[in-house]
Amino acid sequence: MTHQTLAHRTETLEQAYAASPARVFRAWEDPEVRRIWGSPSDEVEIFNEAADFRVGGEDVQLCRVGGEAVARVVGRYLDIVPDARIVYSESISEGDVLLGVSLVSAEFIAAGGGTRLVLTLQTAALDGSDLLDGVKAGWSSALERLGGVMEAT
Amino acid sequence: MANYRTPDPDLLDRGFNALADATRRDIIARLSDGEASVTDLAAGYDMALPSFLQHVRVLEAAGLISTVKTGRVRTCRLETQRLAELDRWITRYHAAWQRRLDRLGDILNRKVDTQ
Repeated sequence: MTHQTLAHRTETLEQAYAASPARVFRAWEDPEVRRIWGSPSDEVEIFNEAADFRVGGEDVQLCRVGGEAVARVVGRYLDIVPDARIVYSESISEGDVLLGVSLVSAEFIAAGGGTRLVLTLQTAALDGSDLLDGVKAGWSSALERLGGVMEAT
Repeated sequence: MANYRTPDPDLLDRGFNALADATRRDIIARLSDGEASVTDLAAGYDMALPSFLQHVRVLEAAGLISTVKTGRVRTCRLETQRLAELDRWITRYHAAWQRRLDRLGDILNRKVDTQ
């Protein structure tokens, strides 16, 4: 997995809620509530394998579609300011292949009696299937390793 | 969060087949330094142009390189499709976040209703 194609993007999403920052924050803090809104669609079911909402704590969520696991999401909390800010890293894998990593920064700002949520996503997508895909950066070493594997078997 | 990855076995087969040849691996190594015309590339090999073109076609069919003809010059470059796929992955991932934020709003509103 040495040679990988890599793509980056940073994007900011904003959303206004009528609820107070404290209530919006609680919806992020509570793993059972987050499990519900954290699914991007009704087809995707999320199961919490682990939930530990504190700095250094780790969340593990399993995403299933029709009972079949499609992604495993591991979150690690880096910074938590109650009712104001959550910064964490989120890595998304399928099987043992890491697909992407995102630094997720959520800011809960009081605005007009409700909350303005500013979400910044700093995402790196990578490709770990390193024979065909590693061609650009390191095809030769990949082939050397393949040769080594063939000799060893 | 579904369909993050869709491997294409046929493309893999063609890719491995294309790389199972020293000349074709060498062509890719040269193109990793930047694009080059078929004529310039062919000059480095002791073979007839039609034979060399055959190698180029195999690499192109495998999706490893693309060629563009401008006037009488055909230029080869390494295919950056993988990069485009990763870019699309990020687009889907960020779009999923937008839907999450919408659903969060739905849940917060529901809670207000029941309080």
